[in-house]
Amino acid sequence: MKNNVETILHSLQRITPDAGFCARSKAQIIARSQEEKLVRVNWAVALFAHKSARFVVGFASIVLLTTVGVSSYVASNTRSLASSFNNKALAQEADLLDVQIHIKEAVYYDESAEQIALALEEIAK
Amino acid sequence: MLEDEKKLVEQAKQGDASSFGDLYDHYVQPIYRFILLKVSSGEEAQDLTHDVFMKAWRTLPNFQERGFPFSSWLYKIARNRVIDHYRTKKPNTSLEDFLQVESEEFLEGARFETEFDIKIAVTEVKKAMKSLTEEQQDVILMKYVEELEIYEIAKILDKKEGAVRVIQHRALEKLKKKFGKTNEK
Repeated sequence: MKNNVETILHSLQRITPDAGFCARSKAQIIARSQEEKLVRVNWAVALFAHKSARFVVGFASIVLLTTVGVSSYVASNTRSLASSFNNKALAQEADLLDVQIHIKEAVYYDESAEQIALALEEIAK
Repeated sequence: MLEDEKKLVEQAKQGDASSFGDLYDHYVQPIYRFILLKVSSGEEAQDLTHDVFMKAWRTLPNFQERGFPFSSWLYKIARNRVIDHYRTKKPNTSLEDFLQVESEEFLEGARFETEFDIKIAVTEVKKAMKSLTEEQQDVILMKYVEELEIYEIAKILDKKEGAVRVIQHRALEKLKKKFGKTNEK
């Protein structure tokens, strides 16, 4: 049976396309232009193939890391510095400072008034 | 494999139409046959065969030979073209529906050396192929009609050689059963 199947399949080799179709098709195809050849570059290989390329990549990586590090440090510091220039916060701080000064002055005057009174009493005696 | 095939391919890659013409003449028959046994009519097979060689010619400058014959690449294009054909033209029609088409319509546009027995063979094969998966059909056609080596079929289908042998064995078993039933009738 296996041979029968294979024989039938093998007999299909006698199928051929129409000669007229083949001639027309071939003429149409070769009349067309081919696509431009794509330049496939394996970037990983290309970058590490040469000594100078390796140096450039290494140097660029260091520069990049340094730039990112410095810029992130500056950015974090700038944020706290900027917040210290906040007018409202400064005004609030100043107000609180003033109140504290007044309270300290009041306490001082209160204490000194008492001391003066005591001193005057002493003198009057 | 065609004599001086590598040289012809290299020349065709450089745009030499005559070299591509030689490759066309050598491979148009097997590619057409492969497609014809997978579609519903000879006319469709002609259209798809034309598309396959057109694509091969246009994209040939980017073809890279990796130890496999040029024909493997052509079969791969042909297989993908047939898949696209079913996907785009008749999205709701399965391959089985196509295989149900009457043999007379199926054979239109094709030429046979001995008309009668080949027509019977094609009709029998078409009926039997209905029981196979698309992959099994490809393996059977490539192995027994086109007589490709297992490593070539594996390359075309992107499979391991062992997997192709398993597909071939199962497909052949199914076909034996089908042909047995046909002969009993």
